[in-house]
Amino acid sequence: MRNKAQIQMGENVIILFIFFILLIFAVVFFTRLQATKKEQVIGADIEGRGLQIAQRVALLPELQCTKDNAIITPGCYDEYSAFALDELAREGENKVYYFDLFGFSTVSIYKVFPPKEEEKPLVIYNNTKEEFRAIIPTYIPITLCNFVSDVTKGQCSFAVLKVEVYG
Amino acid sequence: MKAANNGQSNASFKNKKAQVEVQFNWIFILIVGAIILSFFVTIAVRQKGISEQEINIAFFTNFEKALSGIAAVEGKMLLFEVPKMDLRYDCTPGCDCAAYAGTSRAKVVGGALFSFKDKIIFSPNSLKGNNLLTWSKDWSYPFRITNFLFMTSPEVKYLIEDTSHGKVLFENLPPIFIQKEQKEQRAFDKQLLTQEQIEGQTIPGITGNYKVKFVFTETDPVTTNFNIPTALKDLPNSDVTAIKIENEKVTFYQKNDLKFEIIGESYLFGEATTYASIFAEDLNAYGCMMNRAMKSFNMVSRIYQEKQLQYFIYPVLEAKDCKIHYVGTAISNLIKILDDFNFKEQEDASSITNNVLSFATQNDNALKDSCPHIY
Repeated sequence: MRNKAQIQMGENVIILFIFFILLIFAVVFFTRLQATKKEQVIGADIEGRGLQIAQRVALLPELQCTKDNAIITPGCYDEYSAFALDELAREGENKVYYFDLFGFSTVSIYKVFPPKEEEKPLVIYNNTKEEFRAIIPTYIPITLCNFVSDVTKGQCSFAVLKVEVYG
Repeated sequence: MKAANNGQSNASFKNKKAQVEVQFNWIFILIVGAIILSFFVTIAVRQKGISEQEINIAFFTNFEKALSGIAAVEGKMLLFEVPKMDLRYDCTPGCDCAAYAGTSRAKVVGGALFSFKDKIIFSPNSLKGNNLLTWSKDWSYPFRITNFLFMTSPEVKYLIEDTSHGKVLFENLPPIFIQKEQKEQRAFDKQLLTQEQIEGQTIPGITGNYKVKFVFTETDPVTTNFNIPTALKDLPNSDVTAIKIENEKVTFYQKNDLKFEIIGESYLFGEATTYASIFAEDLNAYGCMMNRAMKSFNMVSRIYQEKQLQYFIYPVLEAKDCKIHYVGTAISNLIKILDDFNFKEQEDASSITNNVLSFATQNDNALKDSCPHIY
């Protein structure tokens, strides 16, 4: 009888031991699965954020070409407004305001046509992250117009708006 | 004999010990089983909480994406389906505005509050039902500043006084029905409030709404002693509200018994702010969101100030006698006022209006003289 009880006890301990080993395996597997899932979600989130910021920049009211407050053509940017934003977005308080909109990103305009040699891109917002996993770039074709050279139609060039989001 | 007795008692002792060991084995199994069971129960309960939170986060993340899409385009109207949850969007007196699911902020699980910091949202504090109407409207004063986002539930009733101004508001507000998935769906509950109805205190079709907002354009509900219909008697005071729109001023009222009492006054800067006051829950929510909007106003004004300065020093424009249109006094004054303007305090807004008018005149004159426009 005593031996039987001892055997039963031993069996239980072994069962428990195996059970806990299986449990540990399950927990490790589940944690890894969750981590992979989380990575995928973060990746999708950065991409989504990139598109959201690109959309925000593309439709920023202060940059649009307007005449008497009406948008002349969609996708048209006023060059002087872009210059002004470039000046302003660097200053402390303004930087905080634009950070709420654009977060960690760099927004620049590259003139494509008519081509000009050695023309630097116009950086309208720049806030880089010290450590980042990836840069998600988004390119939006735009028209960049200068209404000083031509008051009625504006002297326009074809440009690309590049939005780089740091994830 | 003694030895035999000794042997017998020894065997009985061993037997008893073994019996105790078997019992102990069962007790051990029971305790370990209970521990394992409680471990899994705890995990299940926690997992339930986590998945509820995940559902909430997923909903609000998608909701924010949808709102960003709507807010980016001017005049966009969308009726979208939301899960049946207590969806709320409210502002504390300190202007901490956030969306969340639940009956109150204090009960929000895991602090799942979504502030939507970059958006200017005017909405009732509670959004009930399966559908949610969202509408974006451009705020220009005098130049384009930002897009306002209006949200409401088709179960909130808007009663607009039937006057010439009231009719314009009624026409410009979202339609009652919207075509969605080849079906006409109720999107917005609006109704004109005739003078007879105001005087007679009987307003048809005002039952079944959890919130009712009166929009007066001529009648002052306090001085005219307006009686709230008895059909609204059972609704909480905070859910029966009114506003009176006059030129550049809006007065907020709230139900007290069957009368309206004044809560406070605020300012209107252009057409979009009139609609903002209609959709806003109360004076506090309106003030908080307008303070947010004023930041955008300030920033866009700074861009035009910088642009005006660049035009002012541009030699070609000087030669064309355009320089006079780019003197930055009006915009500089406007920025100075906007820097310290607080919508929640009763400040004088006339200086904003005057400088805005001066700046608009400058822009018009530039256009007339064939000089580059500022906006």
